[in-house]
Amino acid sequence: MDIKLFDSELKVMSVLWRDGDVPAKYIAKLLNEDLGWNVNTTYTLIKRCIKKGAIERSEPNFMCHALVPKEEVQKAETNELIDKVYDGSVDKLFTALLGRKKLSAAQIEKLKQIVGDLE
Amino acid sequence: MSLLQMSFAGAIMILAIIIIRALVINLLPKKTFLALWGIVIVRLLFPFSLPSAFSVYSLIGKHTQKKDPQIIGMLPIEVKRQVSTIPNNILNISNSISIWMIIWIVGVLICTLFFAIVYWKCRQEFQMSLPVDNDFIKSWLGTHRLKRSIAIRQSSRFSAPLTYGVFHPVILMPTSTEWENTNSMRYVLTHEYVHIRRFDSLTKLVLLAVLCVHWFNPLVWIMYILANRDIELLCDEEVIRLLGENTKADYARTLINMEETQSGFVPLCNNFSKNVIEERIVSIMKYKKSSIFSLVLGFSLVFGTTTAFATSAQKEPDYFITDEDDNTTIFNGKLMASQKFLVDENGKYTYDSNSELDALFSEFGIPSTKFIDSDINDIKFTLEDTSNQNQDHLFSQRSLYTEEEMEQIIADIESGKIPGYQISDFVEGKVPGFEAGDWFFINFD
Repeated sequence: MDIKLFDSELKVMSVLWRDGDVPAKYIAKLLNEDLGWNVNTTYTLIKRCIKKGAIERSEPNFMCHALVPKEEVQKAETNELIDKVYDGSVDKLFTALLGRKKLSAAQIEKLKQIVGDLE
Repeated sequence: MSLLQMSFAGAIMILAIIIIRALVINLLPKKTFLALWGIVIVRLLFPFSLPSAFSVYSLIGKHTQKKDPQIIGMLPIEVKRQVSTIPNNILNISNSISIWMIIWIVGVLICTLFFAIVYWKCRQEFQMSLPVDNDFIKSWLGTHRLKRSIAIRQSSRFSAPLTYGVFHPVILMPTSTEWENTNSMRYVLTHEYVHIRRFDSLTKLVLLAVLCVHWFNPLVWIMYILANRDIELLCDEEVIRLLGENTKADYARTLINMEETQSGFVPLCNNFSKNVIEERIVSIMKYKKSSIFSLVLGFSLVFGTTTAFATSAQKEPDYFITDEDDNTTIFNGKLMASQKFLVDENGKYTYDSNSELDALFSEFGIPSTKFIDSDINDIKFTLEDTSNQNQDHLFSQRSLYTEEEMEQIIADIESGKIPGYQISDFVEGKVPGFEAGDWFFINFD
């Protein structure tokens, strides 16, 4: 099992790892106090974890059960400005508009050169 | 002013700013460009027109048209009849306007929806950020207070620091931030602080709104990109001003280092973004405290560009009318013909019976029903060839008159601006050139 979770998703999981199976409502309340998240934010994250196969949902009361132990989860890191969640064109256009892309080592070197020259 | 005219006037001004920007960007305070973009935005959003003799449109008019006063005719003596050379496609205008209108509205909706979704998605992601527990941050927030409380949070979903929220601004730092590097932290936070203080996220939203309204105008897209870059440049300038001019090289290196840590691999060599960061670095390094000279230059550029491009041509009177006593009346109204009189390819006039003109006729006691009831919708009449070739162009230039203008003409006649005649004289065909049978009262009996 190789599940990659982001920091915010790990916060949701850590509630389950610590307190066992709890209703979604409980998680939302707890994380609102701890992190200042609103209810919708927490629910969105729970749904993402369900989609990734990290949480199993059961009725009634939207009970959440951790499917993976803490040790098997890897921390996901974003290297891009905006991750794939925005699948496809949306983020591409946005990044293109704001003109953010990674630079090559040579380009970085050239920029440092410019600073040195103008100093 | 129609949207298209506003967009066109805006585009010309954007073009001028692009050129100025390319030539003197590092010589002027960056506020100059923000001021210029601001004027373009006003120009693009508000349909006012400020007539100015110094407007480029006045100058263009003088050179291309050789605008002699247009003498439409020695009215009471003889009104010259002009053969119209109205282009045929005029017949389609009333149809096509609605089609373009629909396309425009659909475009606006698509753009708005698109950006709303992007914004909403980002917002959702922002809200999943985590609080930061860090002594440096706490003390920094203590010394940088605004009326709005600033929060600093972290997220692993973004690799560059950013700010969101207008009323409850939040600085979002990547989780990978080197928190202990207080030197670079100071630059980064000050940069975001300046953004917050200047309400830049609001400015960006206004720019986005302009983009949605003028989505069909490629120059507005260029403006959107350049204005966003200028917001960054101005912000950098402000940071250096706050932290001291001797910090600029250090600040520039911090920015470069941040670019460096971001680049894991290079998928595509993007020349455009390379230029963006290069522009920023050069701009920072070339920063100098604004001299009086640069301030004056900047101010006069804003003033000059505004008078030249944000104003419209000074209106010259459309007509002189000279009566038998050689009294000349100048007025801006248009004479005769209305939008509803159309000319087909055979030079025949057709009359649209749905015209509001009918209401006007009845106002003056003319049985307009005779127009509407005639089983042929088209009243056809042909004008004789003009006896004065020189005046041909008059009609072809001003081929479309709205009902409003038509009303104005009638009002002008009523109020005696066209001396010697009353509206009843026109109706009864007493005015030379407007005799029944020649003009639009042809099917009267």
